[in-house]
Amino acid sequence: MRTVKLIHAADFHLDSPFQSLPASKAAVCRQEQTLMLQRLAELAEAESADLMLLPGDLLDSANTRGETGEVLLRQLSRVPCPVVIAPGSQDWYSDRSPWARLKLPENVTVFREQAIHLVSIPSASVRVYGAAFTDRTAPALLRGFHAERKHDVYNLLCMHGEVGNPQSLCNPISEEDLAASGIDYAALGHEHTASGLRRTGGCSYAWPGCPQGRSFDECGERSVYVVTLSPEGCSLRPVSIAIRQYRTLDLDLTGKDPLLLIHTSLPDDSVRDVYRITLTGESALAPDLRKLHQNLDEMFFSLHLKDRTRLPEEIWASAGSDSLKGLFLEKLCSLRDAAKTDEEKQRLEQAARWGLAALTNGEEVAVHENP
Amino acid sequence: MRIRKLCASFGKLQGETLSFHGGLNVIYAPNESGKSTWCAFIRAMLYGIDSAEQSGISDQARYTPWSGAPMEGTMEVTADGYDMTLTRTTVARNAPMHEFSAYYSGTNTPVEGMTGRNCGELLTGVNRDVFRRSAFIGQGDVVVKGNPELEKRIQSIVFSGDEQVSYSETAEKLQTWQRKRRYHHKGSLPALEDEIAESKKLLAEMENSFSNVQEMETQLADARQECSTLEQQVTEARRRQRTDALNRLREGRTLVQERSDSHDAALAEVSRAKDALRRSDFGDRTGEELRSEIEADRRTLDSLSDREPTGRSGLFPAILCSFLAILTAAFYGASSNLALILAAAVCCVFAIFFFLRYSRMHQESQAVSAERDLILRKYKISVPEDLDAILQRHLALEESIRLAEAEEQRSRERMENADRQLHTLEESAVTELDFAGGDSEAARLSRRLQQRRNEASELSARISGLNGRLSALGDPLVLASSITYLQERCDTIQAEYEAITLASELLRDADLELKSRFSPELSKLAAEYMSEMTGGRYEDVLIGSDFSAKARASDDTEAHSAEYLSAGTMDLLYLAVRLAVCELALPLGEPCPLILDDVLVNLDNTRYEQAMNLLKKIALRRQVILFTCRRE
Repeated sequence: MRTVKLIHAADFHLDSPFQSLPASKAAVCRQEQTLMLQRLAELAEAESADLMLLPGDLLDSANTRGETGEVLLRQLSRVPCPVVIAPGSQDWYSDRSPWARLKLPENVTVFREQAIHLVSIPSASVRVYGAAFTDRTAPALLRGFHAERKHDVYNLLCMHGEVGNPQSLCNPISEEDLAASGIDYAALGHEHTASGLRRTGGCSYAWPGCPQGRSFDECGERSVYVVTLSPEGCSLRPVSIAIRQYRTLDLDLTGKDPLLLIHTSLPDDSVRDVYRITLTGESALAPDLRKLHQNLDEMFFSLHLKDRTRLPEEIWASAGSDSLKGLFLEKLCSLRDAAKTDEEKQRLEQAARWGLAALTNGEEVAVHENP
Repeated sequence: MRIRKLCASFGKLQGETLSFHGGLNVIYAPNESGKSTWCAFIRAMLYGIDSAEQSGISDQARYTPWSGAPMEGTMEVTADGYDMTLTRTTVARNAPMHEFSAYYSGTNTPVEGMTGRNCGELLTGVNRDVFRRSAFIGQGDVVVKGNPELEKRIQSIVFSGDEQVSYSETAEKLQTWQRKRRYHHKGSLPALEDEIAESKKLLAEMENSFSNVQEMETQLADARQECSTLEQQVTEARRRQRTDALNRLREGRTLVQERSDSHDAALAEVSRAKDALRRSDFGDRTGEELRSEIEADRRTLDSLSDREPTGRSGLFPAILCSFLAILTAAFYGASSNLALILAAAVCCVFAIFFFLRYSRMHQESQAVSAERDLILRKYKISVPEDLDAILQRHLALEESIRLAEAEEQRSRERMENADRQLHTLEESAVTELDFAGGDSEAARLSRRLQQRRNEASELSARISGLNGRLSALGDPLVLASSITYLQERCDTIQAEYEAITLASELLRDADLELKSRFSPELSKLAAEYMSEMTGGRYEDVLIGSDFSAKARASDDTEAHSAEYLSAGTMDLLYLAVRLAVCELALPLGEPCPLILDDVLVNLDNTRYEQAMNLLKKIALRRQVILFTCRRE
């Protein structure tokens, strides 16, 4: 058996709305997603890959923009090896889906039915099994499946599905099914956090997650996999094709100036990334988020500041004193003691800040421009 | 502070003066003599003219001197052991009593730091609003009204805390912040919500349009596919239908030609038969005519036959008689027998007779024969019996004509029938070859094709329109991002709004709690005053957080709101509250004078006296100036 090298990428979710970003920056990110396709094609060329497997959710929905479709076709046609696509839960195959509407390049094969089919690729000495989602959900497609073993040919699986959750509505896959499938390497998609290489029985499997974060649920470095199959076994190497990352930072503001604290806590290379900085700790005054934004916006592609600071305990200590403020704080204290969730406590902290600002004839805790 | 003397050019007061002493000053004056004007003048001297409208008209307008002189006046006071003279004059008409001076009386030394703005607060220890709500009790204005500064002063009586905050101010500030975010349909939240709703509506329209475009593109593709199929079907149907129609037309025309040929042949046969008849001897006669003629001729012939002499023609007897005559004559000659001669003569006579008879018969016979021959020649027959044959032949010719004509008629009908068929076929062909109308398959397919083409065209136009609209509406993903971003902002501001609301509610609760604490102090003092002014009739006074008051009579178990009391008792109740407020709210240092404008007018004599007794007691601690119309 010869060594086979393949590129395994999934969950690009092209044309995602990037909902945590302002519209203009979300548009930039969507544009950059197509740049990742170019990087993917370049990676396949640089790695001299024999095959590229794209197991689902390449698109975020069926409502793909025309230019995205054009870029997708252009970049897929640039991939110097066969490409196999298994439509997933977001870009499921239908007569109206882009997979049916677009005139795909000759090197691209798309599974079209919600049942496992075989695509033989003799040039790569592989047989690729796979299936398409034809709706938002799919039953367990791999259950009871076993691939025929052929001499000197690797059996691969390219499919969208969720491993380890029997209740999943998105093609639940069990390790038992994988172990009994006769598949050498299962290229999976659906989960957005990379799995690394896993093995069950004689089957190696992995899902690379989405190649670039699209929200603060998808923080940190992300990648696609370069998988090598050889008689010795299977190995994979993550390669980043991301343009930017989502990152979160929690900073304790107690006794510190927020601007200084953020500056001293940031790495130097923050300018391309989307940051969410949560200010915690104790602070008598609510940090002026508007001012912080004015000072820091240029240091990030996009900055989300969250105030989760608490009032200093000495302020709470005045609760119950014989004054309007004391009574006010006393009432908040009793509510705070009864609060069960952090959100509720945070709400009470904010109420305290607003009340104290009014009592001390101070400024608004937060100021917004008119929408 | 104590007021010693006033000199006013103010409203109806024209340079009039009024002097006071310490303790209780009761200034009697009848109605419309300027009591309220003096009260207003005191306030104006202390705090300046209040340009804000009170009861619809400002002090500036109300107290413009009737004489037309400038509004001005002086006030002599004693404060902190110093006699001072305050002067307010008018330079600009729109700023009456704006010019202010304060000198130590009898000197040219101005009171340092005292200005027109701070004069009242320096002398009384309270600002204009607190003064109006405490020490200054105007006519009909005895009811106590809340004021942040007054609250602070009253709170400071009962709180150990050192804050100088007022609930009203705090609540107002929070309310301002709250209203910035949402106040009915105004504020940042409704604006954001409207923007989000509008964006969502737009997005829904875009998604709907996009979905419609996709749906219509599918329909368009189907329509075009069907059009393509229909075009082939129409072409095939037209070709088939045209071929069928033309074939049928051709067959029809062939049939018509055949029938026409047959008819021509029949016509020729008729012509030939007629020609034969015409060429016959009696072609100019009809059968019946010939028959009649033949019958007539036959009758003629029969009559000729009847005329033809029958029997012996007489020739032989004539010859015989001649011979006998000759013979007898011969014999007579020979014998000269007369008898012979006679016999000869007789025989001669007979012979002549017979000869004449023969001749006559012969002539008759010749005539008959000639006439018969004429008739027979006419028919070219030799015997009359052939007349039937002649007639039969003629009739046969006529019959052949009739038959030929009948055949011609039939063939003509067949030809005409074929013509009609051809006409029908042509009409049918016209219908069949009319691929736009009619009910033929090609026509139906053509119509279907046209319908689908129209649908495709309409779909195409609608798709173009929707795409144009979508283009104008923008990118749905951009809009979706924008909605989420706006929603996040909205959520943030909503959280602030809720926090402000919660803070407001908790502050209100705290304020109520506080007021429930200072109210007893106020109520207690007010109850003492009320009891004193009513001779012990009312023992309890309850003052609410909004300074509303209730009083309970000693023989009653329930306290009643002021509005349920008589006018005099209500005046006393509020006066008691006012006096208590003055005691609690006014500075403890040098007491501020109490100015009362006809507040005892509704009281009976007893209560008036009791109220005056109380005022006298109070006047032991602070100057009391009571303007009244009651002369007691």
